[in-house]
This record gives sequence, structure tokens and C-alpha cells, in this order.
Amino acid sequence: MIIGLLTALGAMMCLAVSQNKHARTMFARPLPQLVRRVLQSLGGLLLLVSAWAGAQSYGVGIGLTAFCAWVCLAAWMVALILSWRQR
Amino acid sequence: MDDDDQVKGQEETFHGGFRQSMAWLHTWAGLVLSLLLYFVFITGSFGYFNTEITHWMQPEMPHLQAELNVAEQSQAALDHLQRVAPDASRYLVRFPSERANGAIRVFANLKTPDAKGARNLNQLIDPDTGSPIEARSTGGGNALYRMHYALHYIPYQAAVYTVGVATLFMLLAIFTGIVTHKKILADFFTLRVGKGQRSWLDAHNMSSVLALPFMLMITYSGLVFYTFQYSPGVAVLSLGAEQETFRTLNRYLYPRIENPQATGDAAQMVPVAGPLETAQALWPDARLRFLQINHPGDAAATLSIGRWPEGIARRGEILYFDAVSGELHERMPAQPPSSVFASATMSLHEGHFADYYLRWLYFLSGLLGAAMIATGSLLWAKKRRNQYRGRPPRSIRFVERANLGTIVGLPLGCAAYFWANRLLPVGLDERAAWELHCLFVVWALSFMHAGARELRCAWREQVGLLAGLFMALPLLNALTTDVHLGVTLGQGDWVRAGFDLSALVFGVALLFVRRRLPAPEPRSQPIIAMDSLPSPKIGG
Repeated sequence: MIIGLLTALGAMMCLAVSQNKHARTMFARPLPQLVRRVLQSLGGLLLLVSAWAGAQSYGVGIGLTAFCAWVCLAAWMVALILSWRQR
Repeated sequence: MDDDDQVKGQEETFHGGFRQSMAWLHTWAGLVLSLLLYFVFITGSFGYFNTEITHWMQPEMPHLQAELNVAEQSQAALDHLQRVAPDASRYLVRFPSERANGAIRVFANLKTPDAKGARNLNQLIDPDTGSPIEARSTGGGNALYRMHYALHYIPYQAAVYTVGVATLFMLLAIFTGIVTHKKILADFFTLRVGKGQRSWLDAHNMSSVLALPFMLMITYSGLVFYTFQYSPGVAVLSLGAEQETFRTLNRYLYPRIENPQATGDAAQMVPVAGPLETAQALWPDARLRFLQINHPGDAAATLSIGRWPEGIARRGEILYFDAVSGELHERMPAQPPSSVFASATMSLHEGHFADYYLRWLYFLSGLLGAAMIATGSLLWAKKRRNQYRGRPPRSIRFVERANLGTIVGLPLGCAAYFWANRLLPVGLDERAAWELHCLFVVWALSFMHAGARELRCAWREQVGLLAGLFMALPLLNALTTDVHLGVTLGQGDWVRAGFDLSALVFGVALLFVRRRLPAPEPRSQPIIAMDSLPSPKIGG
């Protein structure tokens, strides 16, 4: 369960900083195109791992429900971190 | 479309392109029933912890330290029923769920009314002692849960249709919101703080977009519960408009075994240990939900044993036995595929399958839905307030105050509901009803306060009061019962301890929110120049 949430959090963080505006917030500069691509791919991969972790913990039906909740919670945490960094 | 376009796109003009029309529809479909939807989301969110709330609201209920010995306890409960209600047409023993390991509930349908004229006997039994428990009368968590679809003070059917219309509006607002919000992916993580109206828009977008799967699921599945009330034509055109139609349909969708009629011949019933052994052999890991005997003491008596649903199923399986011979007769018939789909959809809505970890996520998602509605309403008022330099029209001022009266007033009412549970005399007549009266009285007072006070002042006072009421709940609990945190933490009664601790955490969080609210303008400033609320700020 914790793995599912942590991987979703990692995925959301990768996807967020792969966007230029959030990369500037986190690193004060945009990231090179190649790094952004890698982060996007890593984010996608971590999302798949999170969905897999949900299915392993609860079965496919309930696991996907848990996955949606993890992604929602993780995205909120990332958005709040980014907001805090912006200050 | 950039952010300015998006803000402008939500102007209340029906003219212009497709997106502008959708923005208009989103604004008004969302606003019209937003306060009712907020009520539905808040009370529905509490519903995810209905059993736990009820357990906290009945401090007389025991907390079982050990697992139940089902065979022993069932026989003891049935023996008790035979003693106190020997002339009954049905006995039902309901075992506690693992969410609140408390008392066994026993029912009996009496053939003749008792001295008080009651036709049913309904008691709680302490599994450790076997004696009845006199728990205080309370609406518990179920009263809050029930209100999210049945409302209160109005007839059930009217409430169901009202909530159905609001749900349709919600679905409409979600779809039009998706169309309006063009940059869903680009703004996925965007929450700008301290930027006035834009910050409210970001908060509104985030609370809806990030929980979009939940919002779609909860809204659509909410309509599925009352499919045949909301669209009766489907059943009527297929099966006819007779009274029997819906009963026939129900029997088709949720097939069950019909109980035989009583013969009138007395017969000795078999001890329940045998059927229970059979049930446990067929369901080795299952937790039993109930045991029921129809026509006890009759030659045609039947005994049914049910288990809690497994996975996403909504109905737990039932085994039917001959109560005289103890033989297994039948198992519960399978549901048709359409009914399985509807049940799975409703199960997703209710989240009965969820463990505590998932249950909290359901609860937080529900609160996020309420936050989406609240930020939408606040955004509506904020945007229109900004368009007026002087005193805004009465309609805007009304919405601003209604927002406060609902967004803070309803949680205030809920806090009052919990306080009433501890403060109202235990022997009060209609006690459960009075608890709910307290909720609505405090909610009404919140509206009146919002109307009477300067708006910023009113926000600070109400949020401060709400924080105080929640933070003081564990203290009130300690002063009025013997199941306070010092005891429950020691016993491992995490249901009651969790309630107290959650109230404390919510109270502290609300105190933090109150500190972020703007101070009232000095008295020398004219009230008409005041803005309603500032944009949300995060961090110190």
C-alpha cells in the first residue's frame, strides 16, 4: 500500500518538474529537453508501478480505485510543495 | 486560452463560442444547487465512518478485546431471544463488524404487540456477559449518512428527487467544467497563492481535476442507487405500470429464497453450532454477518446464515438451512449481470470494501468534493464582488453570507451534533431527534450570525468557534464518559481514540486556517469598501 502511494508521489513529482514552469520553481531554471523526456518517461513508468502495486494489494477492481486515490493525494502533495517553493 | 481567458470565459454570457456557452452553463449549473451539494458531500463524507461515529456516540457499547466465538455467542443470543420473546415469527442475530467490534444486535418480530404496543424487539447484547446493554439513543453516524440522500424534515421521496436533481446538476457542472478548463494537463499542478481571484480559481480547478475520477464515479453512481425512481419509464414500458412491477423487478435483480409459510406444527430446532460449522467450512476466512431463524419452533422453520460481502460485491452470500434437521437447503441465487454491474457501481460509491487506509482516502476525497463546491461558490462571489467598486448588489451579498453560513455553518452544526450527543440527558425522549435538531439550530444560528456581522469578522469568529468545538471534543468526552483517550488508547479501542484524535487534528487545522484569514477592516473604513475573502495562502 505504501509502495503504491510512494510511487504515485514519485510519478507526480517527475511529471511536474518535467514541465518548464515547475522546473523553474524547483531548480530556478528550465531543464534540458532530454532530461524532461526522461522525467516524463520515468513518471509514466512509476504510474504503471503504482497501478500494479494497487492491483497486487487489493486485486484489479479495488486496486484501480486505490490507484486513483493515491494519484489524487500525490498530486495534491506535489502541488502544495510547488506552491510552498514559489513563496 | 490563457488564465485570463479562462477567468473571462466564465463570465455569465450565453453568447459566444461553444466553450463560452459551456462556461456559462458550468457557472450556473454549479451555483444554483451548490449549497445543497455541499451538504450532500459533507454528510456523505461522514458516512464513510458511520459505524465508527456510532461507536463513539454510544460510549456504553463495549469494546471487545478478543474475537467473537460465533457458535457460542449465537446460541446464547438465541436463548436470550427465546426467553424474552418466546412468541415471535422471526429471530435475527447480527454480529458486530470488524470496523467496530462492539455488541451483538438481536431482533425479534413479535406475533402480538408487547405491553408498550411495539411489534419488534431490538436489543444490544454484550458478547462478554450475554446481558442486554442500555446504550443511549442516538442517530449516530447513520443519521449523518442518511441525510446525504434523504435530507431531513422533508418526505423521503421528495428528498430523493431533490438530491437526484442536484446530482444531475453536479454531473452537468463536471462535464461543462472539463470543457471550460482547456489547460487541464498544463495546469495540473498549478496552485498560485496570494493572487486573489486567480488563487481561488486554481484551488477550484485543483480540487476538481485531481479528484476527477472520484467526482465522476461518486456522481454517476449516486444516480444508479435510484435508477428506477429517476427513470421509471424503463421498468414501466418493459413490465407495465402495475404496483407489482417494481416488486417483480426487484426479485429479478436481487433474487432470494422465499421463506415457506409456517405450518403451525411445533418442532424442536437443531442447535445452531452444526449449521455454523457448515458455513465456516464453506467460507473458511469469512466474517459472519447475521444468523436468522424464520418461524422459530415451527416444523417449517428455516435458518439462514449470511456473511459480509467479499471484494467489490454489495451483497454477502447467504446459506439457507432447515432449522429442524440442520440440513443445508440452498445457497443464495446468483444476480443477473445488470444487477451485478449496478451493485458494483453502488459498492464503489459506498466503499464498504475499503480497509481503513482506503476509507480515509474516500473520506478525504469526499471532503475534496465539498472543497470543490465551496471554492466554486466563493469564486463566484469573489469575481462579482471585484466588479463593483461600491456596495455590490444584494444578490452578491446574499451569496457571500450564504457561503459562510453553509461552508462553515454546516460543519458547526455537525460539531454541535457531537456535542449534543454528550450533553443531552441520556433519558431524554426523542433523544436522537434532538441531536439532529441541535445540528440544524446551530446551522441556522450560523446563517443569522453571517447575516448580522461584518463578513470578515463573521468568518474569523465562526472558523474560530468551529476549531474550538472540535479541539474541545476529546475534553468533553473525558468529562462526560469513561471512554476518554486515556482509556481507549490503553485498551486499543482505536475507533473511539481515532475519533477523538481526528477531532483534535481537525480543530488544530481549523485554528491554522483561522490565523490565515484576514483581520477585519478598522471600523473607520466603510463596510462597502471591504472585499469578501482573500485568496488562500499556504504556509506561514
